[in-house]
Amino acid sequence: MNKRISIQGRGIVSAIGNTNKHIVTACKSGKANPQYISLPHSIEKPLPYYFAVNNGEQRDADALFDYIKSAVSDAIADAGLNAEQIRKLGIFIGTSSNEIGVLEKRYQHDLQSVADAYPLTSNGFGELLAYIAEEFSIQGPQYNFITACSSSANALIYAAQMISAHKIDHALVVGTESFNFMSTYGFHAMTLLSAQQCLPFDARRDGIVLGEGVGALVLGTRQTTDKPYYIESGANLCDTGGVTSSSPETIAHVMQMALTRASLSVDDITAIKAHGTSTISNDTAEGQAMKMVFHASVPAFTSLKPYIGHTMGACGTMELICLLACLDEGFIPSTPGFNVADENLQITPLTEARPFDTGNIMLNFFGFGGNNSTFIISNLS
Amino acid sequence: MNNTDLYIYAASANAWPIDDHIPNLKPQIKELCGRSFRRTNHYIDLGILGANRCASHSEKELSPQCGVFIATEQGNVSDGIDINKQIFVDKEAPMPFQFINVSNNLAGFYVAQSLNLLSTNITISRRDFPFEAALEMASLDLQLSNLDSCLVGGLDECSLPLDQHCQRMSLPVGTPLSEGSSWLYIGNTPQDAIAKYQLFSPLTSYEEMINTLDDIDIDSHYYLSGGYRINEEELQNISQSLGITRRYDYLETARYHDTNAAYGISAFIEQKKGRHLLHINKDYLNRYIIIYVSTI
Repeated sequence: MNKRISIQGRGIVSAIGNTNKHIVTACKSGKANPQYISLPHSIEKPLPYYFAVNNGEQRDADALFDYIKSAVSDAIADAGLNAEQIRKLGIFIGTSSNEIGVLEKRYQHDLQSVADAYPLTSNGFGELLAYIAEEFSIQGPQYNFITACSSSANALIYAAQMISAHKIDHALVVGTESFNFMSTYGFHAMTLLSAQQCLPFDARRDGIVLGEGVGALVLGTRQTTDKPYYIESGANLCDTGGVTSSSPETIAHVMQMALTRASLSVDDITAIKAHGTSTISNDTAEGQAMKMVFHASVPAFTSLKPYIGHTMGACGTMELICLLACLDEGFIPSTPGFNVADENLQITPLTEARPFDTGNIMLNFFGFGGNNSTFIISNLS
Repeated sequence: MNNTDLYIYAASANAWPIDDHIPNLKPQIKELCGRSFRRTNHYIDLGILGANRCASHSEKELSPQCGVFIATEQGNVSDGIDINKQIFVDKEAPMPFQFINVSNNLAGFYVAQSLNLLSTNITISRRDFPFEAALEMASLDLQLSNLDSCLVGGLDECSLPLDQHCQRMSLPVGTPLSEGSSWLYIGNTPQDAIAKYQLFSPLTSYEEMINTLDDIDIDSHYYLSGGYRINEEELQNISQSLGITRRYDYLETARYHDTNAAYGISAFIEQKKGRHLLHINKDYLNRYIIIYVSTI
C-alpha cells in the first residue's frame, strides 16, 4: 500500500454495549458474561450460550437493520464526514449470514398460513448494501464480501486497498451478523458449540460461543485525531487442506505475508489479536502458527471472543473496534477465563490487561473454507 | 481511456438453460479433473467445472499463487432451501456437511483445491454488478502486485420450481432462466494473453458513461453489448452516440442468471478474435460499469 490509510470513524452495536465506554468497562473487568439462548425447536435439546445484543430482550430479527443504522451513523459522525464525502463513500460489507434471520422470520410467518410456503435464502447478496446506500444517501461503489468468518476482515483489507489505489477517498466498512437458526443449528450439528464458556487457548476449551452485532468503520487518508491508527497491510490466503480448519503452516504464511506487505519484521509487532475461537483445532493451529512466525518470542496475544462472542463474518470490524477502544485507554485487554495452559501449545494469552502506548498490532481472522486473513494496524507516526 | 490494461489468458463461457431439471455435473467434473468431489453440492460443482474448463483452455500454465475471485448474487440456493425446510418444517438440524457447504465461499475453496492453488480466495457480491465487483477487486490485486494472476468467475445456480426461483429474484414468472459458471483467467503481464481489458467504475450517470468513452477511436472492429437492465432503446442510443454499428447480444443465449455478464464477456473472447467489445452494464440506481475487452 503506497498511501497510509487511517481509521477515522467507528461505530458498534454489541453484546457489551454500543459505546467505547461500555466496551472498555467490559474489557477492563476481564470477565465474560454470555447469556443462554433458548431455541424454539427442541432439536437435540440445544441450549447454547450466546452473546446477544441487548441481552436478547425483545428479540426481533428485523432489528438487524436498526443495529446497522446505529453503528453506521456513529461511524460516519465520528469521522466528521460532510454530505459530499458521505455521498461518495465506498461501502464494503463483510458478513457470513447476510439477512438470513430476517428471511427465517418471514418463512416462519408464511408457514403459519401456507403449508408449502417457500423459503428465501437471500434477497440477493446486495440487499444490505442497498439498505445502507439508501438510508445514508451513499452513491459510491458497493461490495459484499462473503468469506465466512473472515468476511469483514477481507472487506477492510480491500477497502484500504481501494483508497490506496486512489479509486475512492473514503470507505465505510461494515461487519454484520445477527442471530439466525441456520447458523446456530449448523454449528450445533457440527458439535462446535461450547457447552460451557469461550476459553481460547485454555486446555479446557470445548468450542465456540456465538455472538451478534455490527461494527462499522470509516477509513480515509486524513489524520482526524492526534492519535490516529493506520491500516498498514493485509493479506488473505486459502488453505485447501480442510474446509473447517487450516494448517499452522498456512496461517503462519498469511501472517508472514501481512508482515512483508507492511515492510515489518517479527520484532516490530507489539501484540497479536488472535482469532482465538476456543475450538481445539483453531487455537492449536493458530498457536503453532504464531510460534512458527515468532519462534520463541511470541508477542503478547489475546482473544476478544470471550467478551462479545464469535460474531462470525462481523468479527473483523467488531473485534478491531473493541481493541481500539481499549488501546485508546492505554491497555491491551486480557483473555478472560484462561486458567489452564494447553501442554500441546505451550503458550499463554494475556491473563491480565497490559499497558499499551504505541506499536504495531497484528490481527488474525480465519473462516470456513480455509479462508485466512491477517491485517496489521499501527499508531506509530 | 486512461485505465491500465490488464490481460486475459483464457476464458470459458458456461450457461446451462434450466427448464425442468438441474443437470448432474459430477460426471463432467470427473472427466475433466480426473477426480471426484464427493461432498460438494451442485453450486460448488458449477464452480469447479467452470473454473477447470477455463484453466484447461489456457496456454499459460496456472501458477499455484493464482488468486480465485467468485462473483455471485444468490450463492447456494438449493441447499439453503433444504436447510430451511429441515429446521422449520421437519424440525431437524441440518447435516454437518450440508451446513458447511452453504458457506458461500466453499465454491472458492473447492476451485482452489481442484487446481492445487494456495492463494487469495474471495467471494463477493454487489446488486446487479456481481461479476464487475469481483473483476474489480481481482484487478486491484493485480495492479497493486499483490497477485500476478487470478481466476475470476461468475457463479449462480437455479432451484426448482422455476416459478419460485423467479419470484426469489424479483423476476417475472416465466423468465427464461439458466445456471452460469463463466470464468476469465487474468493477469498483469502480456505474455500468452489472448485479450486485454479495462474496467471503468463507477459511472454515476448516462452522461458520465458516454463521456468516458468519448475519446475512443471507434472502428468497424468494435462491438457493443448491454447487460440485463439496459433495454433496447437505451442500447440503440448508446450505439448512435458512440458510432458502434455491431452488437454482441448474448442475453438470449445465456438466458437469465445474475452473473451473466461473465458469460457475455467470456463468450465474446472465445468467439471474436481480433475484435473489441464495450460491455456496458447498469444497476438499479442507474449507475454504469463498462468493461472494455480487446481480443488478440
